[in-house]
Amino acid sequence: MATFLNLLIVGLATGAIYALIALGYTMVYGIIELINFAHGDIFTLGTFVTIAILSMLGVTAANPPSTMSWVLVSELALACIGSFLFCAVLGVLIERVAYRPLRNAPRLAPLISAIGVSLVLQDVGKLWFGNTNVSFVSLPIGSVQMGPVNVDVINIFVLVVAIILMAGLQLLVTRTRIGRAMRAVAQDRDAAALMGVNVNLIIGVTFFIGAGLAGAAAFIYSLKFPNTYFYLGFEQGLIAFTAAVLGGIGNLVGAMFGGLIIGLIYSLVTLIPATVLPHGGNAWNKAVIFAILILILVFRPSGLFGQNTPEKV
Amino acid sequence: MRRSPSRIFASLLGFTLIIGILTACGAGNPGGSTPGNGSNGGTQGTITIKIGTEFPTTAGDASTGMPAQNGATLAIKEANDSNFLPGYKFVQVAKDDVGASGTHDQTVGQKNVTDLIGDPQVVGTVGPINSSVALAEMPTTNRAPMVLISPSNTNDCLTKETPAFECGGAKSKVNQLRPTGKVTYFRTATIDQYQGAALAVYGHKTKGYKTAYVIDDTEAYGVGLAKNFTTYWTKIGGTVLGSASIKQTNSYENILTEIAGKHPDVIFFGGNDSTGGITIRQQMKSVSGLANTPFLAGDGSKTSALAKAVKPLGGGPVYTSIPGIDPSQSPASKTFFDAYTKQFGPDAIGAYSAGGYDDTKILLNAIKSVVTSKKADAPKDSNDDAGAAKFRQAVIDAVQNIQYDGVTGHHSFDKNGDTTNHFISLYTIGDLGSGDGWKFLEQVDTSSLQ
Repeated sequence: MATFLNLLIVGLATGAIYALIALGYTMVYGIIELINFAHGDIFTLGTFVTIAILSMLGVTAANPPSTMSWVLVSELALACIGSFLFCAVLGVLIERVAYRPLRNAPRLAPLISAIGVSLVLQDVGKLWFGNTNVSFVSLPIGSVQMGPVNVDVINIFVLVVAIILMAGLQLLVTRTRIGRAMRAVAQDRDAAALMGVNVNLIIGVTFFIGAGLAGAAAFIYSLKFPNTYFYLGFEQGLIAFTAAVLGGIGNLVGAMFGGLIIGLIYSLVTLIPATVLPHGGNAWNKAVIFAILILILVFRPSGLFGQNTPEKV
Repeated sequence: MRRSPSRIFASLLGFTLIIGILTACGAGNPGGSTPGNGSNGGTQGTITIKIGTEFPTTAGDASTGMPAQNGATLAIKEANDSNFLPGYKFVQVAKDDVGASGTHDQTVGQKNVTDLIGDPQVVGTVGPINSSVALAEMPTTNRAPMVLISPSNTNDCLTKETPAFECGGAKSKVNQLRPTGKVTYFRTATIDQYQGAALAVYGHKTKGYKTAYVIDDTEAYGVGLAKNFTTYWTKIGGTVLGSASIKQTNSYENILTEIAGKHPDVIFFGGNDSTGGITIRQQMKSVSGLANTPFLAGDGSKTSALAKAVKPLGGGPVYTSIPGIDPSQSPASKTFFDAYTKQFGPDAIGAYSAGGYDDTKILLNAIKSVVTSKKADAPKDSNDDAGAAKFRQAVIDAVQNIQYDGVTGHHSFDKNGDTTNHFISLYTIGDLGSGDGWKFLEQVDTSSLQ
């Protein structure tokens, strides 16, 4: 039972990170109907920026801090903001350079330029930190006893931060002027332009927020997981993309729940014993995730939460 | 104009394919360097003999492969400096088998040996590091035939059909790996059945652990070592609580959480540092219940990269092994260490520096015996295919009959090409300041264990 509860918590925390990445896919798809393949690689660079900022502040993996202090907390906050801003600006730049000139070109053109950007970002990561695993700083954060389970504080923190960010995004989209403009552009770009909405600005803002969330996810990832490498975003991106499709691509609430559901499945598959699946469920978790992707595409192409809800961005 | 998700999925598949093609193209990049010039640039009348080295020397495997390649470089340099074989000059042709994923790659390895075989002046190759790469290379070098001699391949099934639970007995791969039926592959690393046994004995008898959880990385080396460990561990009275076979991934948190619920005394990992060793041990620290659990692994995880990543974290002890004598225990070691340190610096030493050095010297000795006994003439130039075939076969025969005493002890080869040296050395993470970060614990002669 304790193992089940532990896996549940691990799954939720991992799923929260997937959800944050999935939001970027779904926001961009919602507004310009492009699968932004570079999104996962923006996430990877976010993990690198986090490491770089922390090491500039003297917090390195080789010399991890032994106690939590307010100084350390503020350094972490700085790394989080830095990663958010770096990724957000990078996202806007990519949109300006690689997608905007192709906005009225055939569908395949921006898709291919997205692949190109993805490769460029991977190589930037490779040049920056090399073709190898780079360790994150291990933080002196313990665990708390909650009933029968011993919960890692990091997992709770990850969940809380992710929920705050997602709630903030939901408020932004549904309650503010910019959010209304985003929804308008998503529904009909030309009509929105006729109504006086600055379409280029709104698309830029969408990329800013979507990529920024990937940066925040990268920071959270660095707290929870031990290391990163230049190819990390490809795999994480694929899983997050699956989450976005599961929830209904283009749908924000769908991406959030899609991420959490995928995280839970990914984690709970571990419980399948080796007598049912050879080598045990854990060896199959990616197979299960992508089998789900195929099943959704076949039986419910619009995803669990549908594609054309009013909240669509 | 909504795009349907199925078309998106098709695009996605296309994207994956393109990435695959691109990375496959990139993988062909020969990262190796060729010290010296390949031609007969030396003294008038000097004949050049090339020795191939095939190790993963960059990226994630650099900490394993580069020290081994350095050992080979040192042996060749010493041979040239001491005029080991008058009238002949030795040149190293260094190949790197790291692929696009950042770790050793079978396809790259196979291309490397094909390139080496294509040059008639290359008379033999030292390498590879990984058993999985050897699986891909052995049929090619066997057909050539060219001698391939590895300092570190420990998978039992590369050379023989036993143990049956691991290699499948008569259904084993030996016939595919040795298509000509003749032995052309040799290794100076003691094979996994001895290493698995030594690790089991160390964990159960010396450390007193009763229960173990076994993880492997799905590769030839990792699976084989894990099976041997499991077999011997249960044979001497230990309990295996469960096992998992997981391909290299970025997180082992789920499986570790499940393992934590079983409370094993020790976690055994069959695999390399880059295929899970580092990440598993790092994540054990943050999974409650496993923070202080001991971690036991084979030679693939005994690297400076693992020591450097794990040491700052603290947590439970880490024990690893090396098949063979610890270089610091052998009389020849002092000379070797001094020479190596002088050439490459004190931090460049690795688990297979001495192995790479010894294997190259075995090859050099074999070449010398062929030349001095006039069994065959060295290939005259890079077009002498006939001469190369004859000389390479003579070198193979000479390696089979060699008696060699080196830094890693005494080596001779049995009928399968395996070393007759059955020593295993055990280590734990020590001081990061010196060497590769590992502290020697003890060595055992495992000949009696099986």
